[in-house]
Amino acid sequence: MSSIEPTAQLGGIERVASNPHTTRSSGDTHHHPAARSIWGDVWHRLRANRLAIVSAIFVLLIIVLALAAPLVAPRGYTFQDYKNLRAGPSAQFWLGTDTAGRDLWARIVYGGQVSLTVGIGVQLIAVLIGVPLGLLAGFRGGRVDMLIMRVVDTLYAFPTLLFAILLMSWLGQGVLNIVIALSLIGWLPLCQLVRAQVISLREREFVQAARALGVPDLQIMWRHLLPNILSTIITAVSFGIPQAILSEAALSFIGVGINPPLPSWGSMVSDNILYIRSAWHLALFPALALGLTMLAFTAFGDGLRDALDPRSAR
Amino acid sequence: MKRNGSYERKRYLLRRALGIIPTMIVITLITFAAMHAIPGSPFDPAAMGGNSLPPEVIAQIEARYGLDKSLPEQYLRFVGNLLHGDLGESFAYKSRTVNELLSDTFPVSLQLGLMAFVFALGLGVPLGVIAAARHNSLLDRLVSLLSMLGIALPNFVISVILILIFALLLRLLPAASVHWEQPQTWILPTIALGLGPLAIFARYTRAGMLDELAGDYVRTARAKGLSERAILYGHVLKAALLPVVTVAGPILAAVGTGSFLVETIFSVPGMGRFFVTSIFSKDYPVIMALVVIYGSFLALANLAVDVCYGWLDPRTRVAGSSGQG
Repeated sequence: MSSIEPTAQLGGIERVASNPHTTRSSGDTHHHPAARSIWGDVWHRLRANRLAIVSAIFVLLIIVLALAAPLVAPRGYTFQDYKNLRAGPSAQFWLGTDTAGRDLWARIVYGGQVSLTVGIGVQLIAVLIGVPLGLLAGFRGGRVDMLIMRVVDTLYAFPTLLFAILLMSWLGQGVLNIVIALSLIGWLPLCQLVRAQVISLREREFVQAARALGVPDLQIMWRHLLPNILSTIITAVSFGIPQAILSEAALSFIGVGINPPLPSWGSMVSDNILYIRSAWHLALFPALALGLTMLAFTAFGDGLRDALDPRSAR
Repeated sequence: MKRNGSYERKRYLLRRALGIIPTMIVITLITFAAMHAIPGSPFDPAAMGGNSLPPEVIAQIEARYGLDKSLPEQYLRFVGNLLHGDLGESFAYKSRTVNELLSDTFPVSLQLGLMAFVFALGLGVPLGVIAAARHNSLLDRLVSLLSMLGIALPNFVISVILILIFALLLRLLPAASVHWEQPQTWILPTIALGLGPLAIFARYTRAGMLDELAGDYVRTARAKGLSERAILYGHVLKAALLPVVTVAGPILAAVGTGSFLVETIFSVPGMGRFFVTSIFSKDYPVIMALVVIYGSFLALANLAVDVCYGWLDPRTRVAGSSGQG
């Protein structure tokens, strides 16, 4: 399920570390007596960041809850209890029931499934499109670069949400279509970021040397450039996931996202905001679920970025 | 040399400004194509759950709005009318032109957006400066926490929380902003919309200030005996604002025309609702109008960033072109 194969990451960064020209973290590069790999360093720094660790645990909890949804919310998201409409939180219904007598807890857990699927799915596709194109544009330059950046600039000129709404009304509602529509936007920042990094790396000695030795372009991109921009990509993805989750919530809030009986935190807020005076919990709990998830992902992303690039840490 | 640089800069900005035109053509074309790719007629009541009309009648109504013409012809007519400032007639709000619809609602959205932007900039930058000046103090941590919350929490989550606290619990402010003529209805939507940008401004200002404070010239200035205040506001702030300006453009574009999520939650009578209704009812002229308004706002905001950039950082005045340097 993870977007990048872990062994590839390890191999990549270690190779970088062994190359003095490409060592990127200036703060921590003096040799430790007990040799620690770059990833060991990252983990060491990450572990010291309490907020990041708490957030990571929270993210894991959400993932576990979403995966184990049938176990933790056995009633399911469509079950209706007509005797308990708009009931407040109780032992039977932990978070109460909505206007149709459905278990709010179950709907939030299943809504989490939707959120995570979209968040991870979108970033997966965004990486697959944005990274190769960014590498290509940055490394080749010239006409290829012009063409790719033209496309990126044009798509950027669209108001993002309007573009997504338009795509959704064209594709039709549903989780898969949300992933497609959001991926078409999600690769843009990745592509730009990768391109910018590659341009600054392109003229460095180790790339020049590889070129002079006649190493094929593809191999230079894969073995020399990619490992150096991996931490940038990881950071971008860790911020891209909550962004995609938010966009899904916004689309479903409007009513062009998921297909109705399926719950989404966004549609739950919009369905229930009308009843905020009489049943405050209906809009609050899904809003909190979304807010806490966003918060956890963002805080974890912050910690991860600081751990990957100590210079950025404050 | 210097004169040459500023000339280059002007040429670059002119090219950027002219570049907006092809961009607008492309995005209106894509929107136009996407709209017409969605099957079904905008005038078929059956699509909206009404009784179906005979196809001849639908065709007649379509002809009345010029939909019987070929697609290129329709697009050219749209462009021609646009150049005269005419956005056409709304399909859904019969008998009203898009210009009329927008002249009622656009000012409300713009006002809300600008209020939120001013609120965010006016509070975010000072908070960032104070946090950086007292690095690692309690205040600094508080600002960091606030900016984390503001960045992570989506504005409609903030909206729900604000309504619960200030409207339902404390009963200080109205939960709905239907009566936009009353200024107290402006407060909650403005905060809900502005809190995220505020957090971003605070964070970028703080990071920029800390970056600059670590620079050699600050050490020199300190060695020369300049007061901390003079260093902070005389030298550091201007340089530190560069990244803030970069993010201000997209933020202005995103916030400047309001947010339909916030507008929906607070029932603000802005143009946000057309975002959804126009697409559901296939109200082509309104969709196109929105794309034009939001798209040009975005383009102009980015252009404004470029102009500010040259003013804040003399180095970019020469190396402004996008070529690799």
